[in-house]
Order: sequence, then C-alpha cells, then structure tokens
Amino acid sequence: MKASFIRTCTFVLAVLMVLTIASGLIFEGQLARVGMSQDAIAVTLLAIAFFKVRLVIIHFMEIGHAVIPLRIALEAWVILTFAMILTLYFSPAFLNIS
Amino acid sequence: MTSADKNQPRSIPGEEGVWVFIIGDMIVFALMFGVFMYYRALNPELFASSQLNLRQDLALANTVFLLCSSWFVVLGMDSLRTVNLQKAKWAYRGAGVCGLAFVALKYVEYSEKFASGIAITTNEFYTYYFILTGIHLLHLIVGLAVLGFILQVARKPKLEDSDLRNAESGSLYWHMVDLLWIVILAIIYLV
Repeated sequence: MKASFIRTCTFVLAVLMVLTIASGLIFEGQLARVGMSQDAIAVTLLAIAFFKVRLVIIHFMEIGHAVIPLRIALEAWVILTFAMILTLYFSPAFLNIS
Repeated sequence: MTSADKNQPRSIPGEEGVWVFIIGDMIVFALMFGVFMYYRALNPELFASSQLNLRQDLALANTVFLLCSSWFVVLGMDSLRTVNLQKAKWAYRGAGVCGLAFVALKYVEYSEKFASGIAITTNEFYTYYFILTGIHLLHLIVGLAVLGFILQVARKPKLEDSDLRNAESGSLYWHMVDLLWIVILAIIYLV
C-alpha cells in the first residue's frame, strides 16, 4: 500500500505539472485559444486551478481517506471559493462596467 | 500509522486542532481573494493593464517549485511513517530547497518591480498584488521554519506517535501554502 501511495502521488504531481504548463501555454496564447472568448479562457484557467487545488487536498493532504466532515469542509472551501471568484469575475457584466 | 491505506478506517490527518488553524487560514485567504476580485470588477481595465507588467514566467516557475516541494513533503512524511529516516531527511531537505528557490524568485520579482518604480501604493492592483503575494510569502517563510522543525524530528533516534502527528501537521501546513499559491497564480497572474 505504501508503494502504491507514493506512485499515486507521483502521478498526481505529473498531472499537476502538465496542468501548470498547459495554463501557461493557454495564457501565452499557444494552446487552445483559437475561437475561445476571453471569458471562456478565464473560466478554463480558473477551473484548472481549482482542480489542481483539489488534487493537492485529496492526495497530498490525504483528505481522500479522512473523516467525512473534514472532507466536506475542504470540498466546500474549493467549491465556494471557485464559485465566489467566478461570480466576481463576471460581475462587471451585471454592473454594466466595461 | 501508514500512508493512505484505503483499507484503514478514516481518520483525521495530523493533530485535530491544526485543522482549525488551516481551515481558518484558508477562509481568510478566500476572503482576500474575494476582495481582490471585487476591486478587479470595479476597475477591470486598470487590473488588466497592470497584470501585463507581471512576470508570469517567474510565477509559473514558482508553481513548479511549490508542487515539487509538496511532493517531497509527501515522500518525507511517508518515509517518517515507515521509519526510513535517512530518506525522510533528504525528502524534507528537498522540500526546503524548493521553498528557498521560491523565495529567491520572489526576491527577483519584487526587486524588478521596485526598480521600475512600482510599489504597493502605485495603484489598486499593485496594492492587492503586494498584499496577497506578500502575506503568502510570509506564510511560506514560516513553512520553511516548520520544515526545519520536521527535520529535527527526523533526527530523533526513536519516533513517538506524537512526533509523527506533529510532522503530519507541519506537512499539512506546507500543502496549504502550496494550494493557496495555485489560486494566487490563477487570479493575479493569469486570468
């Protein structure tokens, strides 16, 4: 079990690295930007970020095997913080700010 | 105590009390993220134009350093649990080196800003940029001290359960510093 845990976390690190590089390439306009609006790019980058955060929480912090209330609290932080940032990102449209 | 064995009953990693601190700190940072995004919503053009002066390359490199450091911490903690203390010490040293690399790049990034006349009072974007990244940097520096403490634990001839729990708590703090930076990278540098 110990060896599989380290293997899993090493795989998670590889995924985190790929997502980080992908975020950089998306920001630079070298990946997956053709035809995407600025808002779609922003949502993609934010979604990648919070997916990465969740990977750190579940695997590196071992919350995937933690008691349920603790897992719920941390998952709630991820969801609520992501939702808050998205809402505020789109709020200029609601406030008619250009 | 073994690492993440899915056949073991669910437990609370680290000392229970450390979660009050970690979750509390995460909530405070979430509120700071919200404040940043709120003022960005009020000044979208100012924030967009100021962001162009940031060093995304350094921020991405720092992300790589912190992700690697977290992996080293995972390896170190697992090694402590299996009483492979030599491996644990090297792993936590690796995490510390990555953390110091982050601090070095932050020094470069801040120095460039100051040299070009940009400071915390330059405009609203830079106020929140320096506050958010500065407070995160302080957390990271505290984290380096925590890693140093864990290294002292790894030098003990015999580890008690309390030693492992303390090391786990310190490791969890470091992972928190890592995950907060992932959000900072996205909202300040990339989006």
